[in-house]
Amino acid sequence: MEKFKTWARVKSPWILHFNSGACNGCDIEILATLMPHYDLERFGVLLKASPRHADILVCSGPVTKQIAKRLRRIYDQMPEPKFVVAVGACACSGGAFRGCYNVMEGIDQVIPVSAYIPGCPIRPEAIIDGLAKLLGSLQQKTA
Amino acid sequence: MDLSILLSPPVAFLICLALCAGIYGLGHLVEEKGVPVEGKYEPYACGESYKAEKLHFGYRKFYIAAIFFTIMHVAVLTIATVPGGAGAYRALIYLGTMAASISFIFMEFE
Repeated sequence: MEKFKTWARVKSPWILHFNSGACNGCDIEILATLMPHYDLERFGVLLKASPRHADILVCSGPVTKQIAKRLRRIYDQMPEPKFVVAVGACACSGGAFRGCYNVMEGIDQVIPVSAYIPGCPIRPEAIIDGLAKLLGSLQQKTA
Repeated sequence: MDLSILLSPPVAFLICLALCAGIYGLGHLVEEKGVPVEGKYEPYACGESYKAEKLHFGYRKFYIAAIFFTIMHVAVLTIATVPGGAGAYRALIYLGTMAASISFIFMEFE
């Protein structure tokens, strides 16, 4: 049964995109990744509008102190098992905003992160590669 | 044995209900049990606390439009079917009555 569940999850991971204070550079690249030119959907990845339907939280931005609680709640509202992908240098470590008085310096300061994909702004190819590696690691765990 | 009873609406409904309950139960069996945390089952509002509000749908403006169109349709039908001849001027009286009715409606609702 576990193999079947992993197979279903890996073949059709649904994602939720959340901007936790990014400059929008990474968000534009995430959207480009989902559009037909890069077509992330060929891996079964589908963008959802609610955390209740999402397996993976794709998060950009350094996490402002104002949005930290909201990010935590969205993470809590996702069903188990859930994974978080930090997209961009800011999401990984604070990036250009590191040290600012109003940011948390990375997603992992608030919620556990499954994969880090650095870049400023990040390239769509890198997002695809990062997600493919995350899905590959999920598959290997049950193999 | 007559199997056509399976296609009768009550039986088909019960079969579908049992099937749905089975799928729901299977989903419940295979789901990952998460840790209950605060806010997990609250309405999704982009991470914010959602303040419940009572909504009251108003049909007031709809009724104005609905009655207006009803009267206008009847008026158009009446005028279109008025017999010709010397008595046709009586349609003007009817139109006047219609105009007064519509005016009263708008006066009342405004």
